[in-house]
Amino acid sequence: MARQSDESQNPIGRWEVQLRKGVLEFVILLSLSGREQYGFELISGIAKRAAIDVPEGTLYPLMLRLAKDGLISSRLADGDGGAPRKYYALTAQGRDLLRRMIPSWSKLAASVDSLLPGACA
Amino acid sequence: MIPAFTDPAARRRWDAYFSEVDRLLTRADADVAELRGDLEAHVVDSMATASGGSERERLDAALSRLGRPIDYLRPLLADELIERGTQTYSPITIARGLAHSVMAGSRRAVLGLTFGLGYLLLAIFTAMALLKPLWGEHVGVFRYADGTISAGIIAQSNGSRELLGWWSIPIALLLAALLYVALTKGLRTLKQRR
Repeated sequence: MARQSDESQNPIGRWEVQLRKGVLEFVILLSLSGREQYGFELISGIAKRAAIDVPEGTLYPLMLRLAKDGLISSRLADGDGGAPRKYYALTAQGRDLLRRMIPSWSKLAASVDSLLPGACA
Repeated sequence: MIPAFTDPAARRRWDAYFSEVDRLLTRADADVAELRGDLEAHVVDSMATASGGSERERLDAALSRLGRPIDYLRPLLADELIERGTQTYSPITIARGLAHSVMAGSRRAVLGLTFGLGYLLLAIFTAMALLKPLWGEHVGVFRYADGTISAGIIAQSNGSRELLGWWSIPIALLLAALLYVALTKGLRTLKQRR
């Protein structure tokens, strides 16, 4: 919480929060493209690998929306300790959307990179 | 999926957090209400992977990373209630959704409306000061025969008595200036906080 309020105090922190929120949907779909994952595994993986540092609770409503839109599905299966866990996976529709999102992202990232100081025109 | 807490303070903290979740999800449909179980499982996993610290500290850290329920559930509830309300033509559900929407993501809209009304009031005070010399008998504070009082630019002022006279001009200018300073400072403070 202290980290979040620090971020909201300075312009770069606020910008980063907005930027991260904007790509969350894409990052969730990307993370699930390899294999199905349970909630905590997915979210902690995103935090570690993609440095998407948003409140973890933000991701559950987003996953619910992705499920309603038919982009991801969930199923209950036994976890490590025997307690059932909800595993999320990409649906065919989600996989198709992700396939189309990747070139859009690459194009956007390349065009922004080309504007950075020192980039070749 | 409530963990078997050994520390009563940790249990109280858990109960308080999920009471807030329950309060927010009371009127949500089954899909959304399922979130409670997802969040509980998340906190249990998050505590299990934490190294060191007391039970209470690990729970505090897990809940802190999860965020405040009101922050992440309110936008979802707003969408859900508005969607359900528009499907069932229920004005109460729509109003509830809009209320959540206003309190969550549309804070700017409320602020915009408030400041808009403030600037409208400022324009009225300025117009009063400018119009008083030209249209004196219709600008000011009027008391009617039945005791009612009206203030501003009044088209029908027959049968009323103007109370302020030329004082309307400095008073309107003073109020406009005070309002202008207050609104500008308010906007500046908001901009710095964002």
